[in-house]
Amino acid sequence: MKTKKMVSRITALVLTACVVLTGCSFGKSEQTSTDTYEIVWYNEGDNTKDKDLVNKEINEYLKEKIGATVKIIHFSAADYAEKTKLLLASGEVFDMCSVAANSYGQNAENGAYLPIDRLLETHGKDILELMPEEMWNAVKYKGEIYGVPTIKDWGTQYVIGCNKQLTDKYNIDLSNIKSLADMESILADIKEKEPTVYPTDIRGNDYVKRLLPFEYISDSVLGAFEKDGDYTKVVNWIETDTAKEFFDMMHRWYEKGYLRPDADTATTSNDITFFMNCTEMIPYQEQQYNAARTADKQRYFVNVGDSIVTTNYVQSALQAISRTSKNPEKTMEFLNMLYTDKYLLNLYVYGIEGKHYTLENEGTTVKYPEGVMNFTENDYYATAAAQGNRYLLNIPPNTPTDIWDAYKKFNEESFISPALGFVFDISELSAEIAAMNNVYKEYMPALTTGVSDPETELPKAIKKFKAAGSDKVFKELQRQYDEWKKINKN
Amino acid sequence: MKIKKNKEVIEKDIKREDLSAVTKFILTLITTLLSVSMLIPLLLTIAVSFTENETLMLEGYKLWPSKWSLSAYEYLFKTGGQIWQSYGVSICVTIIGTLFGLSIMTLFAYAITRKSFPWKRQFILFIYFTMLFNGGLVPTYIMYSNILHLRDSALALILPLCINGTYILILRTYMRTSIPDSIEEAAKIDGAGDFLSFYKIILPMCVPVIATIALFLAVAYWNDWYQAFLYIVENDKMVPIQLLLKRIENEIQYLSNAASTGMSGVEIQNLNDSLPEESVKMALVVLVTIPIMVAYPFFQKYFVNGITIGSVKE
Repeated sequence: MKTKKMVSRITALVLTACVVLTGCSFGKSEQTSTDTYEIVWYNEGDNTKDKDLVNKEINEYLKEKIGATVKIIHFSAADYAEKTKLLLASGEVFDMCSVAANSYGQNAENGAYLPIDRLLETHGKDILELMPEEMWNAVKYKGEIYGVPTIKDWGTQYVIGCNKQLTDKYNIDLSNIKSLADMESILADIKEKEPTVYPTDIRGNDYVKRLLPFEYISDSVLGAFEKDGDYTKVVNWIETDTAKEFFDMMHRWYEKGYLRPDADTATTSNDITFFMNCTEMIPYQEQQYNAARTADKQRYFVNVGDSIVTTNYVQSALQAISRTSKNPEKTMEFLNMLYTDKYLLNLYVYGIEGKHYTLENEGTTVKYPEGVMNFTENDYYATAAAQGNRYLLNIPPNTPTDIWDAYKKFNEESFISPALGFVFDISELSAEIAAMNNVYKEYMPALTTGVSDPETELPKAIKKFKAAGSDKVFKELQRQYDEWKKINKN
Repeated sequence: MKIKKNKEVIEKDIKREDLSAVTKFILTLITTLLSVSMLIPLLLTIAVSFTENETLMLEGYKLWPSKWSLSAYEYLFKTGGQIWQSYGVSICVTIIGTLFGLSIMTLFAYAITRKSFPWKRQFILFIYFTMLFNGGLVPTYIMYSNILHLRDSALALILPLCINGTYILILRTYMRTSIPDSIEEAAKIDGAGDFLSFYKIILPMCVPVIATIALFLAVAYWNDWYQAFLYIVENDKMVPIQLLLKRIENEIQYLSNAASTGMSGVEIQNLNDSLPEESVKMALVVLVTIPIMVAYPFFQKYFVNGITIGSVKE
């Protein structure tokens, strides 16, 4: 009797649950908008508290302007690549998406994006006008444009960041620092005087190698251009003398304790105090960075080498229109607005004026509400660098008002890589690349952090890369590059 | 008297099969080492979650830190609106999913053990087939997302896991081997139909195997983050607790590869700063582990075997 009761109870429960759940799911998918087209836009970003509110505000404005609405869907930066890969592979119907880093060429090849050359001429004239010619070259894949770059800082400036408090305390002169090697004596001092502080935060995350004079095509492929060279030959950077010197230096530093003991495997630096780290900067970021931090975390930044405009960097901030879009024209109109409409772009990036921010400095600079120190603490924010024309944005907090002019100057002065626009198509080499990737993971973090001795480990790594097929990869890389150069020489 | 004698014989039998003292010692040692190796990481996690953050920075992970603190839990209780929401989602999905999956699988297994069921073979083949082949990620995704339109709904978290070929076969084998046909025959003679004999005779006799499968299912549902990662797109209210944890891990992973993603240094630093502290991470792990640890002893009660011994004389 008892069992019977239990069984019937469970059955009833399960059935009710099913009905309730089905009800939920079907209730949601029914969304009908009769005359206005709804643009579905996937973008990198976080699901902030007030996102729906801002989305609604944007829609009211858009309905009036172009007779369409937009549905903004955010995936966090960490999940973005994997989630959009599925969307694209499954043929999901949507209109516009931000292009995940290092995926542009592959997705364009697979036909996930719509070629937009003609659409730009008909519905995106303003974008065409605003964008310099080189940027279009940077995003041309096999002669066609599949994505629109964000108008922003196109260059990257690699920098060494030094702890402000310690630099001031010991009167360290940073003005003569030109390369990583110049830091050696300073680090020795820090090591001696501050035993609890790690002199560097160099970890196996590939940042440090960017201070070397190479432009890397892709990490595991090892292919690079020498920045001082003439960009005709692809080199294997780990076999160069520069690399050998670098590995030797890192090993020396490691032995002396300038790096944390688990440098090759540590994933964050939140758990230690350190003096120096390697990162990249764009104009006036120093002020923003320091203003958002407490005194013990503020830093001085020293430029290493010239800023450079590379394919990877430009292609990391693109908006593409999906091939499955039912109304590419309206989507392009919306995209065009992101490049021309100051109100719309500010609404999307900063939220509603008077609620999420106010303007100060004669209506130019954004001020967050009381108690919000960093934008990530605000009820609404979206990434500024992934879409549209940054020059239309209100000035971010703690930033000089001439920042956009500084950006323009920075872009003009940056060294434009002669290989800008070249994408290495690895579809024929996937086995070799996968094998090299494994070797890379096994050897490179330990070599770039000096954990392993380059005298014995570097030749071993080179041999392993060769066994994985690096020669074939390099031959193909050089061939593709020569071919690309022939088409794009000017 | 006779019974007593029998008992002695049985005890003797058991003794004859008994292991020598050395083997026993070695086996005990191995199992002890195994359980200790599993226990220590868990204890360490709990210890770290109760350690003060500064102590953690200076001393690293320790089973007995010099300074204890509740700050991680305080932080979670204060700021964790999403955490409790996700906790609720996980618990609901686990309970409903387990009951739903169990009811379907036991019915399925019962049907294919009936000799009178005409399409027995085809149904067994159907289950075997799903054990050997599956459609792969993209077709599965298309099925749930574009055809069934289950995105952002709880069904997307429940349906993909609720039926498992292996479990059905375990249930079938148990029903076939440990429940004699004659019991059901007896029920039939007494006038019971298929349903009645299923839940009055078969189900009560299957409690041990059902409890086992329930535990497997519950653990699978509780630990699952991937379905949510795939199908919960916009609706953060439906994110289960495991996905929250996975997100933190993903962000750490992302940071370590950040150099190749074209993110600027400041963005990376911002992401880095927004990550929870080590003790908070561990406190979250502890919170995630507790419910399933509590569930284990509850199920253990049902792992009683040999219910059918002596019920039939043949």
